[in-house]
Amino acid sequence: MPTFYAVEFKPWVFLEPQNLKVTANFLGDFFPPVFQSEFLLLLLKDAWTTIAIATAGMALALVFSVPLSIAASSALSVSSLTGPMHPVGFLVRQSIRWLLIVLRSIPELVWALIFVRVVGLGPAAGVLAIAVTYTGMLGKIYGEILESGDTQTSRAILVGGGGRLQAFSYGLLPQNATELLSYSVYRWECAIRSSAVLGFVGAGGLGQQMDASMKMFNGGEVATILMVLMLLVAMADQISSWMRRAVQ
Amino acid sequence: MKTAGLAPPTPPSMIRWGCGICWGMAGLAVLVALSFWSLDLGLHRLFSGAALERMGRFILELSRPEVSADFLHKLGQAAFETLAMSFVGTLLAAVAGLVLAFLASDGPDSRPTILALSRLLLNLLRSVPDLMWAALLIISSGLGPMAGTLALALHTAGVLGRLFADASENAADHERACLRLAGASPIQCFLYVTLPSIIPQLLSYTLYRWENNIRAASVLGVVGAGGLGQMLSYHMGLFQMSETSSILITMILLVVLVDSVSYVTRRNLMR
Amino acid sequence: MEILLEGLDARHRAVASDGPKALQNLSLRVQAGSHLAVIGPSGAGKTSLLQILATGLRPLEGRLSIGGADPWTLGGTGLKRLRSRIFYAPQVPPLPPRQRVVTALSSARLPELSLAGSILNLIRPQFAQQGYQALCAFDMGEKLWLRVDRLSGGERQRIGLAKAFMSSAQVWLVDEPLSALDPKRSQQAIEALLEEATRRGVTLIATLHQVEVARQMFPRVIGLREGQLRFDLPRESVTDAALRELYNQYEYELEQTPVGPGREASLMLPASNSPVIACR
Repeated sequence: MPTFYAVEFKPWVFLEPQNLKVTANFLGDFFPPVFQSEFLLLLLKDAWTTIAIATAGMALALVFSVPLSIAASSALSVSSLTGPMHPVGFLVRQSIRWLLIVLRSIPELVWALIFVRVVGLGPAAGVLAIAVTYTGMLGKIYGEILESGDTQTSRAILVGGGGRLQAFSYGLLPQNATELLSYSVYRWECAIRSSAVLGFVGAGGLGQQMDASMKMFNGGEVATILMVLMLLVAMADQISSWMRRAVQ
Repeated sequence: MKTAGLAPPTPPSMIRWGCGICWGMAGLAVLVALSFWSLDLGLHRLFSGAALERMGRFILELSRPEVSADFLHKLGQAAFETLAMSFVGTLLAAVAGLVLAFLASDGPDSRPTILALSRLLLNLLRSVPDLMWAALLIISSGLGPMAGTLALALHTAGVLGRLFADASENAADHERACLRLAGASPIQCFLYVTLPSIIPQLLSYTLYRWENNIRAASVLGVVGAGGLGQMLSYHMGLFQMSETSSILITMILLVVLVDSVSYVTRRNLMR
Repeated sequence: MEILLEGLDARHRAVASDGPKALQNLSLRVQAGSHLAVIGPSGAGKTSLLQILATGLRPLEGRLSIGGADPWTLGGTGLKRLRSRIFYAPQVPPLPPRQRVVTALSSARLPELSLAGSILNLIRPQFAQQGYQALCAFDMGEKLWLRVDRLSGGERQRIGLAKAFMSSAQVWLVDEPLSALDPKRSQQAIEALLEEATRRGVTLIATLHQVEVARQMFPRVIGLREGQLRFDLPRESVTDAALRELYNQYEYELEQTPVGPGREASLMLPASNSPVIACR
C-alpha cells in the first residue's frame, strides 16, 4: 500500500545495531526512576501547572463556546418554525460554524506556537491555545447536542412569543443539561493531556520538564515524569466518570 | 375568590446537602479560580499596545499565502505524508487495540494477571500523549515519519483498546452463553460472537479517532516526525510567514477532508 | 380578540407540494370572548386549524385575520407580540422532564418577562402563588414542586391546561385537552377551563374527540372532515344524525362519555359548585 511506503515504514530500523545500543542505553536509564524528594516536589508543581493550564483554558473555552453554539443553533431559528430559514439568519449561523471549524482544525500545538510569538513563552500561550481550540470543539459538540435533542419545548416557547434566550434556558437547556455537562467534563480530561504536550513548546508544566530531561538524556527523570503523567490522567479519569455518573 | 389563607406547599430548601452534582460544580468552580490565580497569566499584557501591534502585524503577514508551484509541490508531498501517517497509524492501532481489548476485557474466562497487565499497558499507552511517544521513538529510530506513525499507533492503540474493551464487556453476555453452550475456546467466542456484534461501534470509534489523528499527525513533525508539522516548524522558525500561512491552510483543508470522509462513512454505517 | 378566516387553504410542512391539503377553503368567524368546539374524525384537520390560528403554520391561500391583523404581514416584533397574546396547548404538552412543575407553568409568562427576570425565575421561582392557584383549579395543588417526569400522562396534560391560567393571552387554543383523562377528571378539567375562560373573557377554541362534551359544554360546535368545514352550528342544532354523517365510516371514534342529564348530577365532588380557584 502506498501509504506504508509514504511513511517510510521500516520497523526493522529499530533493530539496527547502533540504534539498538542507543535504545538499550536509553531504556536502561529508565531504571531506576528518579525518586529524590526535590525532583518529586518539582514534578508536583509541574503537575499542578499542567492541570491549571488545562482548567483555565477550558474555562475560557466554555465562556466563548456557549454563546457561539447558541447563536449557531438552528433550533432557535424563529423563521424555521414556519418555513425556510431567513437568509440573514442562515448566513450568520453558517459563518459561526465556519469560524468554529477553523478554530478546531488548527492543532493546539500550532496555536501555541503562534501565541508564543505573540505573548512570549510561559503558561499564557498554553492557556490561550487550549481556549481557542476547545472553543471550536465544544461549540460544535454543543451545537450537535442541542439540535439532536428534543426541541419541542423550545419551539413551543418561540411560537408562544418568547425570546430566543428564553427558549434556550427554559427549553433546550433543561432537556440537554446532563449531556452537555457530561461531555464537557470528558473534554477536560483531554485538555489535561493537551496541556502536558504544550509544555514541549515552552508553555510550562510536565511537558516542558520532560523536554528538558530528554535533552539531557536523563532517562530516570523521564520515567518518573511518565509515571506522574499516568497518575494524573487516571485521577482526572476518575473524577470525570464520577461526575458523569452523578449526573445521570 | 376564596384564596386568602390558602398557602401553596412549601418549596424544597434551596440548598440540598446531598446533591452530589452541586458539590462537584462548586469544586470545579474553586478549581477554576485557583487555576487562574496560581498561573499569574498576566492576560492584561495580552491587550497592551505592543502585544496588539505584534498580533496585528502577525495577522497581516499571514494573509499572503505562498503559492509558487515549487512550494505547492513540496506542500502536497508533506500533506500526503501526514495523511499516510494518520491512516497507517490508526489502522495499526485498531488491530493492536483489538488484541489488547480481548486480553483486557473482563469476560467469563479471563485470568486476573493477564487482565491486570493488559489494562496497565492500555493505561500507559493512553496516558502518554502521541507527541511524547514520538519524541521518545525518535531517539531510537531517528527523524522521519515512521517515528510519528508508530507514536500515533501506540497512543491510539491505548485509546481504542480501552474503548473496544468497554464495548466488548457490554457484549459479554453473548460470550458467556457461547462458552457454556458450544464449549468453544475464549478466542473463538470472541471472534465469532462478541466481535460481530460490536463491529459497527468499533468502526465508528476508529473513524472518529482518525479525525483526531490527522490533527495529531500534522503536529508530530514539530518534534521531527515529518509531514506538515516539520515544514511548519521550519518555516515558522525562519519567520517566513507566507509559507506558514499556506501550511496552515493546508492543515485546515486536510482536517476538513478527513472529518467529512469520516462523517459520511459513519453515517452510512448507521443505516 | 376576533378571529377571521376566509377561504383558507393549508398543507403540512412535511407533505410534498402536490400532496393533499390539510385544510381546504375554510371560512370561519369567531367573535371575541366566545367558546367554540371543533369536532371531526381523524385527519379532519382539527390540529392544523389550531396551528394556523397559533401562527405555527403558514396558510397557502386565503385570508387570515387575528385581532384585526394578518399575522404574516406583521414584522418580526409584531408577530412576536401577537404570539404572546395567543396561548396554544398541544395535545402532548411540551414539558422538559427534569423541570419542576412550578417552572414549567411559569414558562407561560415568558413573553412578558425580561431576560434577567426569566433567569431569576429559573433560580428562584417567582410565580409559586399563581402556579398553585392554577393547579388547584385542576385539583393538583400538591404537585407544585414536583418534577415533571414524576407525573402521569393525565397529570401532565392537566398541567398543559393549567399553563393557560398563567398566561395573559386573549385567545386559548386547546388541542384534545381530555385525551389522557378519565371521565371524572375530564369533566372537572373542561369545567375549570370554561369557567376561567368565561371569567377572563378570552376566546376559547378546543378540538375534541369527546363529542358529548362538545355538545353539552360549548355553545357553538363546528364539524370538520377531510379539511373541509361540514357544519357550523349552535349546540342545540347538532343532532345525532349530523354527527353520524360527519363521522361516517369512523363511527368507532365517536366517544360516548357517560355524562348525566345535568352537570350537578354527574359530579360527586362538592367542590364543583365553588369558585374555580379553591383547593380542598
